[in-house]
Amino acid sequence: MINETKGKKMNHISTKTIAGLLLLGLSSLVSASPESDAKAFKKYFTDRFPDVPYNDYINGAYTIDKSGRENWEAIEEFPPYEPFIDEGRAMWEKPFKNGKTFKTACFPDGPAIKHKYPMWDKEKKMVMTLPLALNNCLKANGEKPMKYKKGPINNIMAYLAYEARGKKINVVIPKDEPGALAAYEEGKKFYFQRRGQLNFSCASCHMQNAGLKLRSEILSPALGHPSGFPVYRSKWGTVGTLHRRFTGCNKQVRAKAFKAHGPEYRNLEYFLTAMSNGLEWNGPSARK
Amino acid sequence: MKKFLLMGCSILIAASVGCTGNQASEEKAAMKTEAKKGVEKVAEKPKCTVEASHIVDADNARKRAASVGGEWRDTAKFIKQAHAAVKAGKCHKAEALAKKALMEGQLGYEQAMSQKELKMPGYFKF
Repeated sequence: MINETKGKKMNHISTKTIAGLLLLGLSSLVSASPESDAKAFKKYFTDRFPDVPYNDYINGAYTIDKSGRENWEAIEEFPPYEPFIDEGRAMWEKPFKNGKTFKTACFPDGPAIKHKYPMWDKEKKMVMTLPLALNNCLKANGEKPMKYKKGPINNIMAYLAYEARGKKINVVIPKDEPGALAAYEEGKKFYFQRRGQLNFSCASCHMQNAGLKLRSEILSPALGHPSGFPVYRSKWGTVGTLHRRFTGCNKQVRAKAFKAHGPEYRNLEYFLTAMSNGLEWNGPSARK
Repeated sequence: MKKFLLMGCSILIAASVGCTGNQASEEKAAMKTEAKKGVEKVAEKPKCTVEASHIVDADNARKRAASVGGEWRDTAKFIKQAHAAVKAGKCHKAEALAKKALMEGQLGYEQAMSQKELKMPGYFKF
């Protein structure tokens, strides 16, 4: 009798335990809304670095790297990206062969338009990034599109980022557009997916190990990441775009990089920028 | 007289030994040329055929991984290097590279499949 009761109790406990474990497992698979994701994202970093003022996250690794910050502030006194801004301004104002300019042909609200991107394009049913929109404009006006990682794209992006400095990041995922939420979810999945020979995800470095050292470098927090782009990297010796950095990150974990402004990186930019909603745009910037 | 006979015999023996020595060296030379011809015959045959088929397998594994977004950075590079090794006749090198690329292709595919569903890490709490 005693054994039977014990057995029943054990069964009851084990059923409860299994149910609990299943619920725990399921909760980690259930997708949350973009708003609750952003809230959790913010909470993760504010809990991890309680002394860092929230608005400071726009400064990348220098948010948490004190000695690096001193050097960076010295660099910012004579910003290495300034000539790129000037070149970009000239590009913005230079008429196309048809006489139109970027402003008159495609971006009447410009040049301060960077804060509007990435956005969900209702007509094309895809995430639209600013470099892609610029190239679409060039193509529509009979001009040759720019390369996405190196060259003139960095000049015009530096200028447009400079013009949008101080504006708030506000990525909208329209609720009446199921494709927009799907793109956001794809970007989120990409962010947490492990890839490459090193089996790292974006989050492995920039969430789980943010603030720790990778060789001599302090890993930057993901919060506020897109704010400073395009960035002048001393390593590159020039200004580079966010998608060039995505490419570099993927290569560093020994994964094959995806195409700049292809669906994978566009969706990733959509998710990553949405996580920084409320922070300011602070590009262009300087980084190691 | 005896002395003359002994000298004559020794000369004959020396001559016969010398003849046999010449014959042996001629035979050796002939064997060497035949061996050379044999090597040339082997070289004429297509080299590293097995290794080349392994490279094809590796490339198929790479393509399979790429189809699910799981290709690794260096897989295509190894395949390219393996092709170059086959061309240079370095079959062992080609085989090693093909093997490495095949493994990367298979692991890349498995990794991508294991990450197909979004799994939020434990440290990301709502």
